[in-house]
Amino acid sequence: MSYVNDLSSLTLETNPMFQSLKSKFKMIYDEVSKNLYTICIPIPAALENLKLTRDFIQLHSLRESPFYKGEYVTLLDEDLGLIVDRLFITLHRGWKERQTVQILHTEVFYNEEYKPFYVHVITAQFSSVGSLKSRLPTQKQIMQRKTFQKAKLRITQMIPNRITVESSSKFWSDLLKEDKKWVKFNEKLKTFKNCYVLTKKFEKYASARVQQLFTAAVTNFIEPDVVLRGFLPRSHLGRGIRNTLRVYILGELDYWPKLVEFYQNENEICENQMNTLQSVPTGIIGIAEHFVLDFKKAIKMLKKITQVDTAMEKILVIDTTIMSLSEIIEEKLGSGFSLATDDLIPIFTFILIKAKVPHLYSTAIMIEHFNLCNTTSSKYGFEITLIDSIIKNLIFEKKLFNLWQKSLDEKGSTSVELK
Amino acid sequence: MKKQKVVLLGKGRVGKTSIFKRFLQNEFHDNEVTTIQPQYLEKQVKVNTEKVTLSIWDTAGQERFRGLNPLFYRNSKAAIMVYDITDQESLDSLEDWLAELKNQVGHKIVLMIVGNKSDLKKKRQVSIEDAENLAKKVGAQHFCVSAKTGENIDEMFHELAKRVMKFVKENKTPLNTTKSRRNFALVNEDVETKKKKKKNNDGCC
Repeated sequence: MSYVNDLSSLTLETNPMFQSLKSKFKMIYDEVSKNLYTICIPIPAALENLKLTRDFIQLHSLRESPFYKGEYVTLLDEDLGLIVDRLFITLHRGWKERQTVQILHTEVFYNEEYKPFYVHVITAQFSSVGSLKSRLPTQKQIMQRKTFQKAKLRITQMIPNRITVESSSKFWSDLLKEDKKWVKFNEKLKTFKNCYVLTKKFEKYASARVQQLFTAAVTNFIEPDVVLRGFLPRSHLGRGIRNTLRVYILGELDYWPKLVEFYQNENEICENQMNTLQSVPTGIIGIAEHFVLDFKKAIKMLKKITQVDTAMEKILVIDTTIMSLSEIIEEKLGSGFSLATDDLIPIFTFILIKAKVPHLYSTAIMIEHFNLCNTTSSKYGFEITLIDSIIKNLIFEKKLFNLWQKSLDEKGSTSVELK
Repeated sequence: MKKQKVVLLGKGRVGKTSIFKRFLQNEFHDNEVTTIQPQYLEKQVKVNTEKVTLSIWDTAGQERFRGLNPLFYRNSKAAIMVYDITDQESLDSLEDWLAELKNQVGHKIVLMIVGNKSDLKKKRQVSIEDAENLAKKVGAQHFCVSAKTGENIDEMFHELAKRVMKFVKENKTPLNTTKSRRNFALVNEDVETKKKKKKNNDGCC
C-alpha cells in the first residue's frame, strides 16, 4: 500500500504539524532541539481533520527511556514506550493498542550547538485515543473529570426537549410570573438585541454555522458557572454552553415545586379519582380475564417514579414498569402471550391507580415537556403518550369512574376480584 | 433518513398486532430491528440504496379506548389502516378512523389500507372492489395480506417505506428558503464574529 502520492508529502517545510511546531509550539521544538530528542511527523494526509494540540505534538516527540535501553518514551507521558528502528516505530508499552508505524523519511536537524537530532516522517499518527486513555490521570485531572462529569450529568438530565424560551414563553410566564429570576431572565432576553433565540423546534433546519452563532449568543447570554468555565475542556465548552442555556434557566428557576403548585387542582382531582377507583374491578377497567395477574412487582416499580427527579429518569421508570409487565405475563402465561396496546392500556391504568403516584398530573406535564430524548418517534415517545393519554382521558375525564358508577347502578357487572 | 412514525389502526380483532408481529418475524435482507416491544417496533427497511427506519406504533382498536388514540397519531408520517376481509363492518369503520386521524395530523400523511386474513378466502365478506374504491377515494394504497401466512406483509411494508421516503423528501422544508430562515435564530454577525469566522476558515486552531 502506498502512503505517499508525491514527494511533497515528505517535505517538512509544507507539513502543517512541522509548521505548527516551529511557530505555535516553538517551546516544544526548542526543548527537542536542545535535548536532542526525536520528533515524529505524520504525513499531511494523516493529519487531515486533526486538531494539532500541545498534547498531540508532545505525544509525537520522543526521548530515550531513562529506564529501558533501546526504548523511547513520549514527552507527553513517559509511561508510553516505543521501539524505534530504521524503518518502523512500534508502540509497545502503555498504549491501548499495539501499533506499528512506518518511517518514510528521516531528516537530520542541527541545534544551536550544532548537535544533530532527528525528525522522522511517518505514515500515521500514533493512536492518540488509545494512548491518552491509557495514561494514568493525575489527582487534579481526576477531580476535574469528576466535576466535568457531574456538570455533564446535570446538563444532560435537565435539558428540556420541547420547552424552549421563545416558543413557550407563555407557558413560562403563566407558570412563573411572580418568580424574580424569571422576571430577571425576561429582562435579559429583551436586552439581548442582537440575538434571536433559536427554538429547538427549528434547530434541525439550522446550519452548523448558525448553530455556532447561536452558541456565541448563548455565551454572551448566560453566565456559565465556575465549574463549566474552569474545568470543561475547550472543545466541550461550546457544546456545554449550548446545552446549558435552557438547563441553566430551568435549573435556576427550580421548576418542579412550581409545576406542583401550578397544577395543584389537577393533581388533587387525579388523587381523588385514584382513591375512588382503588377498588374498581379489573373487568370495568377493561383487563381481559386471562390478563388478571399479580402485578405487585410492576406497581412497586411504578412507585419509584416519585423517587427520581428528572423527566428522563421518570420515563425510564415507566419503561421498566412496562418491561416488568411483559415479564410477568410471559412468566405466568408463556411466551405466546404478548401485550398489544388494547391490553396494555387497561393494565397500565390499573397499575397507575394502584401505585397512587402523588402529583400525577404535574409528573405527566414534567415528562411531556422536560424530557431529554427525541420523543416524536421513539419507544419512550410511545410510553409518554401512553401515560399521558391514560391520565388525561381515563382519570381526568372521569370516563372510567362514570363507567364504574353505571355498572354499580345496574348491579350487573361481573367482575374479577383485584389481586 | 430519520425515524418515521407509522401508526397501525383499525377496529379491534382485525389483526393489527398480528401484522405487527409478522413484520417483526419476517426477515428480509438488510432490514434491521432496533427496538421491539409488543406495542412498539422499530425496523429499518432498505429501499433501493436508501434506508428508512420505520417506528411503528400499535394503537387501541377497542371502542372504549378510542378516545385515547388521537394522542398516538401526533407527528405520524404514515398510517396503516387495517380491516378484516371477513368483516364488512371493519372496512366501513375505517372512514371514521380516517376522519379522526386527519383531524389530528391533517391531510399530509401516507395511507395504506390493508385487508388482513387473506388466507380466509372462503369467508370473505369484503369485496376487493369496495376496498380499492375506498383506497382510491382517500388517496391510499390497498393491499391484501395474511398475518398468518405472511403473504404480502413484506411487500406492503416495503411499499410503505418507499412511499414514506418519497413523502418525506417532498415535504422537506428547504434549508435556504426565506420561510425557514425566518424561523430560526440568527445572531447578527458583529465584527468580532466575522473575525472569528475568518480565523476558522484559515484553518487555524
